[in-house]
This record gives sequence, C-alpha cells and structure tokens, in this order.
Amino acid sequence: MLIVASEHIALPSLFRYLSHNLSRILVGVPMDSLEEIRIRLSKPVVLHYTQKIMFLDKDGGMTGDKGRAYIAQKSDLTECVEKLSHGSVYAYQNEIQNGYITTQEGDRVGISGHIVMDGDSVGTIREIASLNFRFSREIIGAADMLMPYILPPDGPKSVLLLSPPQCGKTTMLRDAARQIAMHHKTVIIDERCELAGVSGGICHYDLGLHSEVLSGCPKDIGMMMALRSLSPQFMVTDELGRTEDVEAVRQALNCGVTILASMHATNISDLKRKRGLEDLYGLFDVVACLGLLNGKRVLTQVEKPCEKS
Amino acid sequence: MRKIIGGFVIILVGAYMGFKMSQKYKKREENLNYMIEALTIMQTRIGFCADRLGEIFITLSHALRGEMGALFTEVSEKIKRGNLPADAFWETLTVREHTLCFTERDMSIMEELCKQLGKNDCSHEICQIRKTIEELSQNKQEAQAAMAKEGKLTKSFCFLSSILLVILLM
Repeated sequence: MLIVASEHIALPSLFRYLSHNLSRILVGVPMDSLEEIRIRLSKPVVLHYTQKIMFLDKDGGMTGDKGRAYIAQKSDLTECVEKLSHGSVYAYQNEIQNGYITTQEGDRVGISGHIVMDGDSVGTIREIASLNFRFSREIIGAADMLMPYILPPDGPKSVLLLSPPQCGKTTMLRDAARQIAMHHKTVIIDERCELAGVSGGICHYDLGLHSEVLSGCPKDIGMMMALRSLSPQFMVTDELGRTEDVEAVRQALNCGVTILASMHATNISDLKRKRGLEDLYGLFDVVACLGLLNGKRVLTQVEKPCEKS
Repeated sequence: MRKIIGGFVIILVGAYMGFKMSQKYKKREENLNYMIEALTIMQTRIGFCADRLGEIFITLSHALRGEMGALFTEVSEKIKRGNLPADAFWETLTVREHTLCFTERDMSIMEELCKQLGKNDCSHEICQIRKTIEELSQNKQEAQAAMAKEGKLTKSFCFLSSILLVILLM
C-alpha cells in the first residue's frame, strides 16, 4: 500500500463565484481540507472537509450547531448562478444541461433543480434548488505512486484508475498527465472541462510541455479526433462510463496509443459488475484502485489483467 | 452701428442655438441606429459563437465609434471590475441617457432587455434581442420623422425668436 506525498493545496478560487452574503460570512473559514460547499435552498450551508462535515455560521466562520447555521436564500443561489455564468447563462447551456458549470479554474459546480425536458434530452434546469461547489486541486507529485505502473522500464502501460467519488482521482490523473506530457505527446480529452481547466484556450493547470487538450468534447468523439489528427503517444481521460467509451478505448489501443483513464468504481470487483463496462478490465495493462486511509490517498488494489490471463 | 452689430450677434446666437437644439433629434436617430447595429452583432455573437456578454461588449467597444463606442468601453471596464454584464450595461445607459439623447420610451425598451439579458437560454436571448431591435427600429423611424419636422421647427423658432428679440430691443 503506497501513500501519496503530502499535499500542498492552493486556496480555492471559488469565492468570487459566491453570492455577496456567502462570501462575506465565509471569510475566516479554514480552507486547508475543504472539499465541497453545498448550498441548498432554505437549508443550512454545509461545508464538507476531508474528515468532517460542518455548517456555515450565520455570523461568519463555521459551526457544528445546526441552529446557528446560515440558511441559503433564493437570492444566494440566483446570484451564484449569475456569477458562475459571468452573467451569460446561455453560454453555459450545454454544461447546465449536463447538470454542472465548470469555472475557468476547472472547479466544477453541480446544479440541481427542476429539469425541463426538450424531447428526449434535458433542455435546461430551472428553479435551481441547490449548488455543490467542488474544489479542484493541483497537487504536484500526487501521481508519484502511480507513475511506476504507467512508465515502467519495459515501456508505457495503459492504466485504469478506479475510485469512489471524492478520493482524488482527477487530481491524481491531472498530475500523472503532467508527468507523462513532460516527455511524451499526450492528448487530454477533458469532457467536463475539469481535468485541464481550460479557459480562453489556456490551461489553468500545469499539464506538461507536450500536451494537447480537447475540452468539452465527449470522450469517444475526442479519442477518434485525437487519433486522426494529433498522433498522440498517450491519451488521458477522466470518468469513463458509457459503452461508447469502451469501444473508443479499444480502437485507441488498437492504434497503439497508451491510455490513462479513470472511472467511478469502489474496487475491481465493482468494475467487473458494471454492465457494458466490464470489458474495460481486460483492455488495460494495469487496473489500480484509489482509496482513502486515515485521510491519506492510497492505492488499495493493483492488478495487471494481461499478466493474469 | 453698435445696435446693428448687436442685433446681428443676437440673431446669429439664436440661429446657432436652434441648430444645436435640433441636433439632439439627429443624435437620437444616429445613436438608435448604432444601438440597433450593436444588438445585431450581439445577436449573432450569442447565436453562432455563444460568446459571453463580457466578450461581446469588448467586441462592441472596438466595433463602434463615437458615443456608442465610449458607452461600450465603459461597460467593458465595469465588467472587468467584477460587475455583471447586464447590470453594467443598464447602469452605463442610465448615466449616459442624456448624452445619447435617448427618450423615456427608448430607455424603457432597453430596461426590458437589460432585465432579461444573460439570464436565459440561447433561443430566448435571441428572441428578446430581436424584439428589442424591432421596437428600437420603430423608435428610429419616429426619430427620423421628428428630426424632419421638429428639427426644422426648432431651428425656425429660435431664429424667429431672436429676430423678435432684436426688434423689441430696438
């Protein structure tokens, strides 16, 4: 079991997207291990830390007492959405249809509310009822324990990183992409604009010298585009989850590209139980599981399917 | 001789004042025209590029000249300082209402737009802008008619008033 190097986390930049009231009372709240802020209409604002859950105190700071918690108003949610969309909701229509807005720093804000359907697909979300601010992190060295599996002495290997939500998959993937792209041509397919945090064509995170980013593009389409035009040695993508993704991974591997990808799964057995996605296990050279142990990120399970077969 | 020169100066000033006062009709028509042009660019940028309003206002500040260009430059600066685009646009419009020679009716149309701007999906934004363009076009036609009719009337009135004043003084 390997333990990740100690984290150095920059202060979150999400405050400028919060309503005036919220940003005023959030001053003084410790940010070191803050992972999420959940703002639910007419409910206390909840602060999720790595190892504890607290409420936002109505007089500023944080509290464990629900009675003293700040209750989110409709104006807070409206103001936050206006600020998140830079006063241009239409420009974020596609993201809102998928249930989130990604900030230019690569932080993702989940949205819930009343879904308005447009035919068979989601048209928009109105009467927004809650926002979930998730703080993305750039931890240099976060992928150090994974790198020996990706770039062993006998040549690059395709790696699938499994983990439940909130364990730092994207952070690890981001650092791995950075380390790979120092020496290899790498294409990052960033469907949710979270991995690279591209804004105005510039990556918010350090993703290495030889990286190209296809942002906002569905993974399967992005992989094919990259194969045709960018001649990558490596492809990095986050959260595989559709059967189309499996086929795209297969095609990319057939073309000789090495893939580093992540996926939501508790462990390898969980992956094998996922209908339509179980084939992923046999496609990758290494399947690794990331988990939390006493607040530290560790690789809990590593298997090499090729060696097994 | 002094009286003749004085009378001549009064008539000249009266005629100049009439000319200046009639200019506001022309200015309104011109600025309405610029605003329609700006909204047409905005509509295209929203519909085809999904540009954010902040970026669109910067484009407009470069694309338009004169008072309307200055208006959009001020809006862009306010947005850079952290104001929301629609709020910055409305705030700047109200400050420059008299410079632009906009009437209450023009302003109420713009207020309606600013209340909705940036708060809807793409098709609703375009509908709202299109509606505003149509309403402003009607106002522009009225402004043209007013320029022809009231502009001349103002000029004539000032000129004749100054002549009357000279006669009375003499």
